[in-house]
Amino acid sequence: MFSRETHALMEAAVDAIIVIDHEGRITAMNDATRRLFGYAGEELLGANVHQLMPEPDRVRHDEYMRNYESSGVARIIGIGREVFARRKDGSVFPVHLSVGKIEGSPPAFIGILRDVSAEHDARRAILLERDRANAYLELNDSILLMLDPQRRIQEINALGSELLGAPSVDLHGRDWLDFIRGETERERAMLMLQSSLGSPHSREREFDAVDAMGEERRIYWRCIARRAPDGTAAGWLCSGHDVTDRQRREEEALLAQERLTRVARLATLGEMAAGVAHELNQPLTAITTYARACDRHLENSSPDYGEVREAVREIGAEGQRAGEIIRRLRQLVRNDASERRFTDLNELVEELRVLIAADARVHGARLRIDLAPGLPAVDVDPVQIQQVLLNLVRNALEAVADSPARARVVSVVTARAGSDEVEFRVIDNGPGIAPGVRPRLFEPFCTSKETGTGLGLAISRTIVQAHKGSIGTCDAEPHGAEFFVRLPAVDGSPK
Amino acid sequence: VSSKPLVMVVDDDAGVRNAMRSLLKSVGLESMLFGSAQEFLDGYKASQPGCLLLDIRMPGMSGLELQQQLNLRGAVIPVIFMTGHGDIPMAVEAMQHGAFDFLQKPFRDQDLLDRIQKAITKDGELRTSLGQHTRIREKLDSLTPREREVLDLLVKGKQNKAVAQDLGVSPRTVEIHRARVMEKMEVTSIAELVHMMLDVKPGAEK
Repeated sequence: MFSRETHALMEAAVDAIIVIDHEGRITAMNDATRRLFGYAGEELLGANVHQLMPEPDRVRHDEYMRNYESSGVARIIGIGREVFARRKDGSVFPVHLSVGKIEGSPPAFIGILRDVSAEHDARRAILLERDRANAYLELNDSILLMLDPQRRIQEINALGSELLGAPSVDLHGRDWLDFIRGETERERAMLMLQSSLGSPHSREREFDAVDAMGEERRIYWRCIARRAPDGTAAGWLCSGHDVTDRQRREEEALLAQERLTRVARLATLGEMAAGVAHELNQPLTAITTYARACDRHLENSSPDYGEVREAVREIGAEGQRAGEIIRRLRQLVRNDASERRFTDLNELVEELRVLIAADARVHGARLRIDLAPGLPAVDVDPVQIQQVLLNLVRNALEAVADSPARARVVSVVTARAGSDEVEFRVIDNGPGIAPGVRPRLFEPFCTSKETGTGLGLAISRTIVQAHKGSIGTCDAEPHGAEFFVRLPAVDGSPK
Repeated sequence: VSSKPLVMVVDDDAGVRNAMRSLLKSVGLESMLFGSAQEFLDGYKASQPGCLLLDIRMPGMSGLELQQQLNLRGAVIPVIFMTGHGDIPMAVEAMQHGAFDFLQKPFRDQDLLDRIQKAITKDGELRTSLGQHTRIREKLDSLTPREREVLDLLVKGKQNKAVAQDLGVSPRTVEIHRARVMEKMEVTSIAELVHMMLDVKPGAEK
């Protein structure tokens, strides 16, 4: 029924080509049709073409053809569309179908079917992938967003929208920097993005933001640069983790720790009150005595003005001495937040000298202070380190309390420890630490004293560890205990 | 050693020490200052009249320990302790060990000066009576054993005859010993002798 050329054309096609008459009966097909649908020889010839269709087209195809015949409205002819086809074994697969009309009376139709299973599968895979990606985006408890090269938000996940924008506000197109508080912080954020451009690695940093409810939030951002296939910069992918609560908890824990430290410091100072009172009493006694002496000298018939002048000078000096004691105390009682600065350990000891000497006097002990010159600086909170020193000295004084008065000696020594640490040691010549106590020595509420909080050493350890230092103890010779505190020296300070 | 009474001040606090010196000087009292108990012990002369103003709390040897050292040496110097707040138990201990008095720092100058004056007076009295004791003891030491026996019996109120009987000698011999005793002890009556012996009683028998 076809010319040789037509026949050759049909057989050369990779796609299935089927000719049907006006009633849907197959009148011709090519070999590709048999291969695609799994039929052999001439078994399809004369069969209704709907045999090659799955439901619901299978039962409706005759109707489609009648509709076309009566209305003349083509739904597929000259348009082509993707439909499903059915093999002999019943399996269904997607095909692209184009239909042409062979004019005549009655007319016939020619259909060309291309198997699009592969494209279909690929598209499905992409869709699945996208769904999964979207699910990940939404499931993730971070803000996820994609920025274009101008830092504008191209995509943002639900959590990000929720956190950074009110529901009605569209965040697309907004500059990412708008969500970072503070001019210098914004500059830092910009630098962070720029520095990530040449790198396969992400850059990260915490920034403050204000959320949709106007509340301040702390967000940990990680940003990684994207590249277009041609290698040009294509913007960034950023994740933002809301660390507000964590930060708040950390701040609260830190505050609580600081409060506890301060309370312990005040408790220690309270225990030292007797010594401090005594120490203040000395200059006061000197002052009142000098003042009365002046009075009496001046009442004498021939006053000794040299004596009076010296007394007045001494009154001034003693008043300053009393003021100095109070100044030292105030420094330790201050409510200031913890503050690190480069500090000379020897200076810290010197500043405490008057207080610990007073305490030593109350305990009837001799105090020896031996400071190594030229120590490198340490980066510490001076008051906290002095608190540690006070604790250790007080413990040492109590350790020698049962020795005969003349034998009680407590030493404070500073020295270098290795190449990169500075240490101070507090040594007593008491009975030493009982072996049973030693392992629990730095635990809270481990105390051998009748008074005291039992927190001194525990807090000392916390303070020293916060300074990346170490605290420990060993036996002193010939008896007694030695406590050492080592702190990292600041690089580049005089060795 | 000065014959004038000296106020010795022992306090480890130079400010307090020097202020004391100035105050004492204003009322014409001489003082000597020591920075530690040991310093005082090293420089202390028992024959120096005066009193000791002693800080109760000092590193090294405390005021209490110094007091004990002085007691061990049989020193008579009156000690006035200077105490701080809350040192009352120590002050009590010091008083029990024979301290003259104690004063809490800071003190009223008049209180201090009054106490010092009293302590110096007391020291003088002690030294006077101590001097008398020494003289009596010297006189006692000049007696022969027999004369001493006679003295002891006479002081107990025995008459010559009873003494003679006790010692197995004649009353005439007792008479001679008695005259020698009265002469050596420089008394004119037995009553005077009894009084003298009562005075030295506690330490008289070595």
